[in-house]
Amino acid sequence: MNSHIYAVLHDVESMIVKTWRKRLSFRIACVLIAVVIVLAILGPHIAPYPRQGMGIDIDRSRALKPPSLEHILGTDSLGRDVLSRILFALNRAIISCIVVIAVSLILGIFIGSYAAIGSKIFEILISYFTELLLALPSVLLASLLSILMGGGYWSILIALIMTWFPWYSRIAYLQARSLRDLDFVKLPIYYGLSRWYVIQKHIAPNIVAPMLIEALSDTGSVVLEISTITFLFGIGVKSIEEPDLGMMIAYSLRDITVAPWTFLAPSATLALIAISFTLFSEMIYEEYHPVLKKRWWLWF
Amino acid sequence: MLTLNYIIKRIFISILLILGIVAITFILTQFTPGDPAVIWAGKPRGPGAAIAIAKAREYLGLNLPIYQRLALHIYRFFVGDWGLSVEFKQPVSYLVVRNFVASLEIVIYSFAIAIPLSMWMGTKASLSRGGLADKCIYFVSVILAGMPRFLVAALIYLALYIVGYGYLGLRVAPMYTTFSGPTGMITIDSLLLGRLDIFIDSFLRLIPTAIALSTYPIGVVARVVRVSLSETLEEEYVREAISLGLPRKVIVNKYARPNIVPVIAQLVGLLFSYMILETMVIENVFSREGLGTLISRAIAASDYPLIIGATVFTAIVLIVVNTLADIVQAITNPRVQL
Amino acid sequence: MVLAIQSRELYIGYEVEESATLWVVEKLGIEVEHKTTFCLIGESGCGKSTIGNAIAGLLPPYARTRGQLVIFDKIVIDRDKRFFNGVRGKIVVKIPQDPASSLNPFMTIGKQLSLAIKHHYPNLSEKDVVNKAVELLEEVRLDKAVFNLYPHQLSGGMKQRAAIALALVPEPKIVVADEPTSALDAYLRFAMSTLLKNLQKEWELTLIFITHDISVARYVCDKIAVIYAGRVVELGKAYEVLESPRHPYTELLLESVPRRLSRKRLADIPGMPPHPGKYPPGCKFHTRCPYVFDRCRYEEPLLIFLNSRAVRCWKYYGYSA
Ligand SMILES: Nc1ncnc2c1ncn2[C@@H]1O[C@H](COP(=O)(O)OP(=O)(O)OP(=O)(O)O)[C@@H](O)[C@H]1O
Ligand code: SF4
Ligand SMILES: [Mg+2]
Repeated sequence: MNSHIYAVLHDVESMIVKTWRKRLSFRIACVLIAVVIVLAILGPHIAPYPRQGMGIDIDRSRALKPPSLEHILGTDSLGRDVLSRILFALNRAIISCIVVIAVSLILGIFIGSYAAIGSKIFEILISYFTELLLALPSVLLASLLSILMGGGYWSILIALIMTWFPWYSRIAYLQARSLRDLDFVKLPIYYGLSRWYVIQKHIAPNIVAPMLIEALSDTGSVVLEISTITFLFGIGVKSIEEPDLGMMIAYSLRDITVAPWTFLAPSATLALIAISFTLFSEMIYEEYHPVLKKRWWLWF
Repeated sequence: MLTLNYIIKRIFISILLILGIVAITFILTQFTPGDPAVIWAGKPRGPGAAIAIAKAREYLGLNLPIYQRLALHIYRFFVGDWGLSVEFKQPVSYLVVRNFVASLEIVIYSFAIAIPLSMWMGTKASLSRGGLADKCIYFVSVILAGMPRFLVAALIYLALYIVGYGYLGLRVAPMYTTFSGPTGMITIDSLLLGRLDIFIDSFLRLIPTAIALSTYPIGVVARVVRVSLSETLEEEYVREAISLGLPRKVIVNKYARPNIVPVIAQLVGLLFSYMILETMVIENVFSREGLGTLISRAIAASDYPLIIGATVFTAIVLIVVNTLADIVQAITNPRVQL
Repeated sequence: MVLAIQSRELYIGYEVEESATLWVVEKLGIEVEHKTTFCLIGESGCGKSTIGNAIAGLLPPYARTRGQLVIFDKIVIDRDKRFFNGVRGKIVVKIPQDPASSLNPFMTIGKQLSLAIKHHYPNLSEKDVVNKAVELLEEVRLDKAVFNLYPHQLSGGMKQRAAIALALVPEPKIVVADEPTSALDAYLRFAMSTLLKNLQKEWELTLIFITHDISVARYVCDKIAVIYAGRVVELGKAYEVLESPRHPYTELLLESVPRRLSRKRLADIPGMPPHPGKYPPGCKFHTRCPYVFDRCRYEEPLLIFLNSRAVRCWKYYGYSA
């Protein structure tokens, strides 16, 4: 298993290195992603006003201050430093995004490949179930779950996992189906090894590298989707403590005409994350695409 | 013939999926953790709570045997009796359909803006792939798709506000709020009923939201068109057309373009779900009534019946849209290998 | 005697990475007389299609060239510049290698034919266009009904015929047929070769016939060029080359074809053809040649002319027959 993991990481690494050498926008995207991740990890420790960042320290007397040396990105309507809030929120956004992606990837790979090599009935059931889940809108699912479970944030994550893993299971299914007639998958099943074992040993290692790239490319969308949902959740909420990009944006919406920075700073952060992740994956895709990597013009 | 078979099969599958949705709603209303009646009544507190819960219990038929409950549920589902909204005290199906259609209007207009524009952008980019025009179009589309929709919407709103048109958010001017028509889409209704003044008013109010929403499909579709057109231009049959000395225009429009119609049909189906989400955001930014404003109020009030109704309705619409997209794809692609 | 095609030290390559070019065809020097059939023969990947595309003016924008290619006194490839305006689609057209992928799947055959006809004869009436299309279909022995069918409704042989009909629309002088028979079965292969042979006579075409099938080449061609690793290794009249091959590669290639009468053992050529970019030094065939000697390994042989034919092999150096 270790050697498999090593091989997969090696594949991904060589893709990244090759693209890095060729494309400037890929380098920029990589640097931005690295900065975002470092900030997300260090955020709570380097935030200038950690108590305001957490949302505890509220002081209306310094509300809606424009950007200055003291508060680089200004303050929001409850007098909290926007930069500190963003740093705290970034931490949370990245962690929840990683949780969503990782869980849906693992679920997707296993369910998808099991559908490909399992029995026919199971295959059909899974394909219908996947399509059904894909039809459910994630916000509404999240709000249903939040009413049922009482917890706000976890229900959002679960709803996202429920709507994202069908994608991965569909991709994994298609890839595993192309493998299932090959000897190294067929023979072990024929000799009676368990299907889970075959998936772990023979299928997953072979499909994980392209799916990892796929997942990386979705990271930006997941961050966006989480904050879009929290934005919609936050619209109705009267007062918020928790640092979350979507909630911050929802809450600052009413001050947009008087204090645009409270709105623009978190939105721009989100845009930056989403754009750099998209560029990251698309550049790799282009570099390995037999047609796109070449120049072309109307030569005839 | 194969196409027809495929279409029938596809419709059959979508009916199955809708039945699956009915099953899910049954489970969600009858077997919730805790007391289903409490949740159905919106977790009420205060003096009226006991009465509300008792009403919900009666509505859900919690003391009936399970097969009767199932029968009742299926009957109500197809009749359109989806319960009473806790927050708005109105029938759920009425609220959901009315607001969904209002949101759908924006989605349709934004596709109408986005598809021609992104076709043009994608074609332009792929015809000079690797060149300056391609790079510009590529980065513009990445930025458009990557920007959160509330940022786009808010920028447009700010711009309008500064110019002095900040009120353009609402669906219609206050004096026309009583106006209603057969489809529920105000621009179409007003045209059908010959009220040009309402049409112009509502159209102007719709444009900023539609533009804000269209940035997402523009960014995505332009890139997909670029990729699939580039692939098509390397196909053998395009090279044959070049070999015959056909003019560029014919080669691009008649040989390369038809290939991307099925691709776009499928893509529109896939984008639809995310577009609904984005519309909700935009409606909130412009405080325009529609599904988005409805849902965010429902969330705040724990309005369970309304949210279930909205979920189910959107899911069904999505299933129908995706089925349509697949059918369009099957029809426009004469190479039937299904 | 009119020369239809003449190439002088032509190099063709593809730019695979930025500023790294994979030279596929090197030192190509051929002369093709007008109204004859010229055959290019060789293993898969030796660059036959690349040569065909170069002649038909279909090199993609990322292809690189050196040397010169002349078609009827017009220089169409001059070092890295290509001038195919007025040549491509008027004087020279190509019949594709794979009929399945070479017709537009979104249009009926009739629509494709009429589009091309309308472009080449702008002042024909709508009815004449249809008539001409049907005429062309009959020319390639296709039924009229094909006019309203989509490519996926046709069999492989019919697709190939439809592609030929399309290629005849501009009334070209040169037709490049890139393995027109390789996707067909043995019987159709014969029928298709006959069709092309007859068309060549009737329409007085110069036919560049690309194939890896020696029996077809023997049947159709006047002159033949054997290609190995992007080079012409043997050039001459078809019957001479195929009856008494001189180059070791041609010998082996002919041996690998079972002849009906002699029932000779089917001898495969040992080893693999080299890939472009990994051509060996010296004679490109020395890794597989049974007669290899020292000189072959470090010095590339020149084309050595022996009477009416030319051979690229050190064995014949200083040999005059
Ligand atoms: N568009 C291209 N880009 C890069 N390399 C190419 C391209 N087309 C062909 N090549 C390379 O050029 C070499 C010769 O290709 P070509 O198609 O001319 O061979 P061929 O003799 O026609 O083979 P076949 O019998 O399989 O058709 C191949 O090794 C191929 O990898
Ligand atoms: S030059 Fe030498 S290696 Fe090349 S074909 Fe002749 S004998 Fe063989
Ligand atoms: Mg070829």
